[in-house]
Amino acid sequence: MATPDPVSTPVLLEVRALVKHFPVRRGLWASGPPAAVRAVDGISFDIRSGETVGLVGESGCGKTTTGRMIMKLIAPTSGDIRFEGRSIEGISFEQERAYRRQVQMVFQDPYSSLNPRMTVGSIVGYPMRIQNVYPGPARDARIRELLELVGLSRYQASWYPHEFSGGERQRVGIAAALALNPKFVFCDEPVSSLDVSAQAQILNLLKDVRREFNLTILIVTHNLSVVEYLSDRVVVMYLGKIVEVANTADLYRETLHPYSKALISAIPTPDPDVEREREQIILRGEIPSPLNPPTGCRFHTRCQSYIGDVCRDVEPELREVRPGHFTACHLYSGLVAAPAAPAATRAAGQLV
Amino acid sequence: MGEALLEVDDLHTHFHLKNKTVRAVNGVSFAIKRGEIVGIAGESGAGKSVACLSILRLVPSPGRIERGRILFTGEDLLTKSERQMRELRGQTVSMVFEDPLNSLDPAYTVGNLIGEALILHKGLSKREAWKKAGELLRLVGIPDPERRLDNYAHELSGGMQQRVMIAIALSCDPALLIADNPTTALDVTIQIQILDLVKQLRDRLGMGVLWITHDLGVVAKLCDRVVIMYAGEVMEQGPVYGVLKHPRHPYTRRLIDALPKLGRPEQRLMPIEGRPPDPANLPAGCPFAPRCHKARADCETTEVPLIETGDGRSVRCLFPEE
Repeated sequence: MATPDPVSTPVLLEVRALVKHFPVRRGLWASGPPAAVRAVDGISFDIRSGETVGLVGESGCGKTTTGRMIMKLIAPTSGDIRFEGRSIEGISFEQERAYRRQVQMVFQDPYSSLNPRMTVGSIVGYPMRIQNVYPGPARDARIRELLELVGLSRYQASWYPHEFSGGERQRVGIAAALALNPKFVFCDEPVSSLDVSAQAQILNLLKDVRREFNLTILIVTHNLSVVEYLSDRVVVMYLGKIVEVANTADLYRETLHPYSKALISAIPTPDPDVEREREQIILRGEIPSPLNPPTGCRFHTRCQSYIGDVCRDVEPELREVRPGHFTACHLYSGLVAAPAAPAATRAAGQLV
Repeated sequence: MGEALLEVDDLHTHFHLKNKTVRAVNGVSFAIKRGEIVGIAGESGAGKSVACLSILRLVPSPGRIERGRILFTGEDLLTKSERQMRELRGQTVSMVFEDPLNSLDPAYTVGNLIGEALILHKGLSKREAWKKAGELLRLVGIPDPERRLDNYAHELSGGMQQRVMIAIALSCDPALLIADNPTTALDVTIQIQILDLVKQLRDRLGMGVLWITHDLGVVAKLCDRVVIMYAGEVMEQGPVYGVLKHPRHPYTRRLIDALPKLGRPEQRLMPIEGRPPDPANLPAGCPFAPRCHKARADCETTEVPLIETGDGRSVRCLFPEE
């Protein structure tokens, strides 16, 4: 897979300082400021045209929330999302309608995301009906064309979702997402509920339609082997923050952030030789609550490379450590190496 | 590793519905030694879970064990009375299920849930049971265990809940632990903690473990031996290294080829075409034959036996790979 050239390819989607806090209801007599789940806490990244970006992390890291904000399913608390250079917030109804035509979504669970009372044909035709495109007989032709494109047969348009297997249902979901010729597709855990064989079929299908439609894809998943197979670039999130961004090959071969290292070492792989040889990092503890994330680096409570007070006290910035390879970790920030750095001085001061 | 702890021999478990019989488990044989971790792997519908429920004789109606022997430390469990089975379950053989939140009673605290088995099977007093429950929580790596005893299941994270399930399963020092997909709902960094815990506990307590999973990666990480199931039959079994590195059954090979592999993203995935057979209407010959690249005419008609191929491996195929 050719990675789009970073210089010549225009940026399709920009995410800037994006924040989403979900306020939590507290008891009547609770004191202190209102609490909030800090699901996404200030993240920025770009997606270039034609690129497939994988957004990975464990439950509660904010990856799905990010995707849903891009889809305009929920509104950000602050920050900005720009599509083709224009903000998607505060736009007119007509502009929003046009935006929704260009961005589509493939859902996680092909069992609950398809209406059991609609035929597969009307499910695939629904977006076209809403957006009022492909009128009359052209729509039926388009439905049949889409079904064949995703590997189903045209006469299955009159079938209901329960007549299909899980993998076939996910094909229907993909056909519906492609119905409006979108520029951008957000795939939320597209294969996590499928069996091995169906998973392979859907991953191959996504690879094929991406090329055929020149799609830009954001794929959210916890499965790092899936991400490696599909993506050009990977964004790793932990507790609402981005910890590492890199081209896929760089991320897997020259992993920088200790969390990414732990995540990659924890993926089970069916090759016993790989399992024997590679470094096994077992993190202590669990993911802290996003209601009250740790100070400093959010990963410091579980980090295997904890280097001192700086990790606890100072929040690391996302820096470009190598060309195109960003990470937010003090190991690479030079903060520790330079003795004059304020954090190091303070740590020394505490000792006295 | 010592003598056989559990031997399942030619097990058939069928579900008798109104107008058809679903043959979920169809002649399954395997064995577990003491201190050994055996994985049962296969896609959904392969009969893995039903095979394990059969061992504890917990197959829900209309399911019935039709044929076979289940020897546990030499005694056939299928000839035991229901009362004897109840003695055995949770005490010498215990089970961990896939979904911890649905398996833990929401009305009881963690201390009560763990203590119940201790009071019932070991005859401990309430106070003793509470104390032992705290020790068990520490054993499975829950921080601040004494305080956690007062928690309800919903107050714990998924990983913690699964640890509590394992603590309950371990409460009576079982000789055999059966785990049905216990880590599918967990994040990978938590999953690896649980897998590491199970290995440690096996080393320390010397129990046998039967681990059901659809993830061959988990098998490679955790298990000593693996049983590959398809359509209610064992397709191949043997030591993990050999089976995953040099599979002899085409199904095992195809299963591995369908998985995305770390470090080799450019290699296109090879899905298995077609669907598994209808368990109510199984083909006469090899159940994988209709989807198999190497199948010849014989495969569809001849019943294929499980053949030992040396080095502790066996394969059910007329044309196995060398």
